[in-house]
Amino acid sequence: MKQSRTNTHFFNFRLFLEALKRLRVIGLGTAILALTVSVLVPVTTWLERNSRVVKELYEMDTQMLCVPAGVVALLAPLFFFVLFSFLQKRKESDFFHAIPYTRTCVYVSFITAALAFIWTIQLACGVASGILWSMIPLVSADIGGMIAYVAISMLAAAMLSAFMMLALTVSGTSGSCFLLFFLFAGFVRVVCAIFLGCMDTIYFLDTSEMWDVSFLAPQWLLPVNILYYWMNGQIATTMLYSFSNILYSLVVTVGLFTLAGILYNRRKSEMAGNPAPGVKTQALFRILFTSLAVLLIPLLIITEGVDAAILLVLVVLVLLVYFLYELVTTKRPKNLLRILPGLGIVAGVCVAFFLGFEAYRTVLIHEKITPNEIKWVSMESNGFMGGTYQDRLSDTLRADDAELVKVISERIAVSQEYEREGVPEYPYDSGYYKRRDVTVRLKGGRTLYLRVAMDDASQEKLQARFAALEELKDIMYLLPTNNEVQSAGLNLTVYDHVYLSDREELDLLLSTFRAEFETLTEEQKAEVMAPAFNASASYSKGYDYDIAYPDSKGDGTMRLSLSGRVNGKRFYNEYIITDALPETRRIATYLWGMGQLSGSYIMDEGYGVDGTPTEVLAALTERNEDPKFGETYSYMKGSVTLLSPSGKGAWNMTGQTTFYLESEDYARFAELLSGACVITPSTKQQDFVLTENTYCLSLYHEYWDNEKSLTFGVYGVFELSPEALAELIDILSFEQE
Amino acid sequence: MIQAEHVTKIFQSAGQPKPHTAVRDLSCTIPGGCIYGLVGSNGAGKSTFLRLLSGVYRPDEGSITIDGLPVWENPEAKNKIFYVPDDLYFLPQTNMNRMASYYKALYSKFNRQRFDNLTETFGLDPEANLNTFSKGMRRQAATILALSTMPDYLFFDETFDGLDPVMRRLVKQVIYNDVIDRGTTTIITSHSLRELEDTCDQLALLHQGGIVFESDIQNLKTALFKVQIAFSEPFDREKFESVGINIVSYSQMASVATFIVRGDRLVTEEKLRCMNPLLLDILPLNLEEVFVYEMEALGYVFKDILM
Repeated sequence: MKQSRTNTHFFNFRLFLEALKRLRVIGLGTAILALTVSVLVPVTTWLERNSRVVKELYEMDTQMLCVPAGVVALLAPLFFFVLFSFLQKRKESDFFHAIPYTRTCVYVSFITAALAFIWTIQLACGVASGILWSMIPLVSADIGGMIAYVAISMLAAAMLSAFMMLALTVSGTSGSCFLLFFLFAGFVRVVCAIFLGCMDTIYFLDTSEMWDVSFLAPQWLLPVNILYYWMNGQIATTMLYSFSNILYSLVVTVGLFTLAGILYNRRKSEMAGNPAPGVKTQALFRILFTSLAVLLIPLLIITEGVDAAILLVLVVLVLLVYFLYELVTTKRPKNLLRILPGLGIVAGVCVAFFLGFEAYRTVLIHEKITPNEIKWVSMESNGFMGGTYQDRLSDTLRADDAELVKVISERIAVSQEYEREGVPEYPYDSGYYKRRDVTVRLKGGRTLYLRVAMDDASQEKLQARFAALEELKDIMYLLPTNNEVQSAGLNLTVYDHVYLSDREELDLLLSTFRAEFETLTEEQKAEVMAPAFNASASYSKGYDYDIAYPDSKGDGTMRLSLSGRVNGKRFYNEYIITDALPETRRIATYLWGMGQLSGSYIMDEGYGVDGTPTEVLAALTERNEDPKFGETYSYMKGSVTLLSPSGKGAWNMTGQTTFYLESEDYARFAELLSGACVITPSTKQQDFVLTENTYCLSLYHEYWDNEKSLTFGVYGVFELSPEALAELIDILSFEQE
Repeated sequence: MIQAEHVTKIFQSAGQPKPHTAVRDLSCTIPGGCIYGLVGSNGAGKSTFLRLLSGVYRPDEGSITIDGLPVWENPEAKNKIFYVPDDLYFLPQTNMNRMASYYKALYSKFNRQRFDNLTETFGLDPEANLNTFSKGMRRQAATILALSTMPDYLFFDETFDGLDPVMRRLVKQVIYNDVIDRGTTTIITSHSLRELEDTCDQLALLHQGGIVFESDIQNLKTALFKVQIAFSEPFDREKFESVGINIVSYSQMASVATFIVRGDRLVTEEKLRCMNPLLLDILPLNLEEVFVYEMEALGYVFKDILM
């Protein structure tokens, strides 16, 4: 008879509300905790930063701006577990299956409610964090990055929830549900990670790249990204915000929810209380779960080589997992005998993996890759320092130059021979391994990430061919766009860093820099970009006097540091602000000075002042008149950098007991500088004039003895006549003891 | 009307290799507006059958329709049904009012007024946490909620279990009234024939997943009766069967015979009196006795079924 159906809507608001009610305990509890943390972290950070004597801008790590959003993502499966817990208890299952609604309607209404609850909490955390971080002074927070992180966390929450939903539909007990959740969520990625781990033993392969971007990488599972982000402290892979990962995660999430919905519709309600739909599915789950343990055997054999004792332990572990799974899920010891034959399949998985990997390895190291088969080649570290803007751009340069491809093909063959002979890590010569990490795209569509053995001749040929590439030349002197730059700073030394927090000022500086840079000759450009091209462009060699390198001489200069993202990877560049960039230097000096304005301070017992250099110097004078200060000292240390942006010279000294100040030195020091500060809170950028006598000073000094102590820091831009400069240098005793 | 045709339900547990057939090729027709009793021992398939009728379980074979509508995944059909299981479930940490709100949201015909009246009649506190109710009170609460959804079909699984005699009587009365006033079809399961004897219009006996016997109560009670008769001269069974008396069961000790007769009582009595017995008693059978003899006629040993 034809069915007459009404109330076949896919969604019912009453069921939706009922689901929200079912989630009220876990939901409200999570919301309260998450929001409390979202509020506490910025507030305590502000209190802590505000309590410091030296008030300087602090850049907050983006991944710490809204940690609760990520935590809620990891807790999301519990919401679904609680909501659909009726599937595990017979009478509760009967109750919900007896109501006059289709299963599809119940399913859609319930999962909508759960996701709405979870996402609302995450959004609320994001909003609370965003508002508070924006309001807090002296803390720089990448709010845009935080918003992206919250959005990713929401997707991760949905993805994990989908795995839990799938587990709920094919299990009827809590224990089996959680075991299956971990199985479904982790199986593919764990197997891939084990496979990648085995591939690490093939030196010929550049598995670092594969761990990062290939489809085998664990980061394709979005929640892994969140954990990795927290543990690593920065976005270390390209995965977290990559479009491909987001799209993949969306597809998987929607697919899993759809599959779970189909299974939910087909699920027998009498499954409640049963670990699996039937004997065969129970066996399948048991074998899959145990396979994760059994794959440790080939992994360890291939990567470490194991002796009989370890092997025995692993076998016992596998047996324990196999039998415990059955015992925990069915609670029937009688089954343990019945399931013995399944161990044969588990053993087969182990053997198949081992043989399969060995076959793969054999094919890989014997495969002939001729030049004709290669579509393009890209290489890392093409003459640039790692992690720079140029480095990131050149990584993706695809060369199909015939000569280059021929060299690569030849070196691949050599590498494969080394691999067949079991030569570890390629020839070692002159302190480094002769190898290049290359990506080879074959015309058949495969992409190979290889570590190719090189010799000097090949290295030179490759460098030459790559350097000749027009694309490489194009990027050599390319500056990041304003949009690509996420943060910037000005450095006198590697320690003196002023973070440029005002976006408008930063954009002005960048635009000025770019405009002046375009007018430079290639030689001048190379001088500016020296840090990107070689490691020898270090700070320590740029100063007239450096306690670490007393024999070094040179011109210390201010540097502009830029960091951001390009091609999904972070970059960091430093540019030397040379004489050829006068306007850039003027604006940079101004911004450096403005950035230091509130950084000066002085304190001793019961006394503290922080403010502009002028205010602190006045306080220093006042304290110096206090009879507290004597001539003896037991402990003194400090650091000073004095730099002429105009390139007249630079002095730098750090260390303990190398910075000697007599008591009268304090007074003279203060007197010399008091009237010389040229950047005050009222100084406007367009009015600031950089002269030959302008100096940037960054000074920190500590003095302790049994009765007295004094600590002060003076940071600012001063105008010093040659006589004043000489006297200052004398006072500061730039002499090595 | 409920129609079940060749319904089979098999349970397969992941922990047990052997499947268990709870309902086996069961067919029956339950007319509307009656109280239908389903009796059987533990594991006979009573609860399974009710769950099949309620759309909680899906039959592995066969079909179940209610008023011509398939039950499975059919909200229209389910809206007419309310199933009160033997093992009651209520929403966690809730009271009767909350449950009433829940059902009001889900069942289109839920009658709040009726709920309030019944709650008052039974003397239950609708604000009290249901966890504080005794087993009997929870059954009462479940019954009240069931009746308040104004269903066309009510299924009670071991409902009178746990109720004291007074409450049992009250619940029965309320159900009667519902059947009479609204023509509700009610199915009640029990393992006790005595429990159902004075409640149901029709009875069916379920054994090992199938209905072995089904009949109208009135017919059951009048179709069979017991005769005790004695003669001075020797006699045997043939004496009675030769005059057209349908004997279901016969036993004789000396000059006294006891036998169960299927047929018209007055006609049979007339025939027996014509034989001029020394002693003649015609006695009614209780339901259990009727079942025993009917089962024996079908080849079952009754105590094996209901023990």
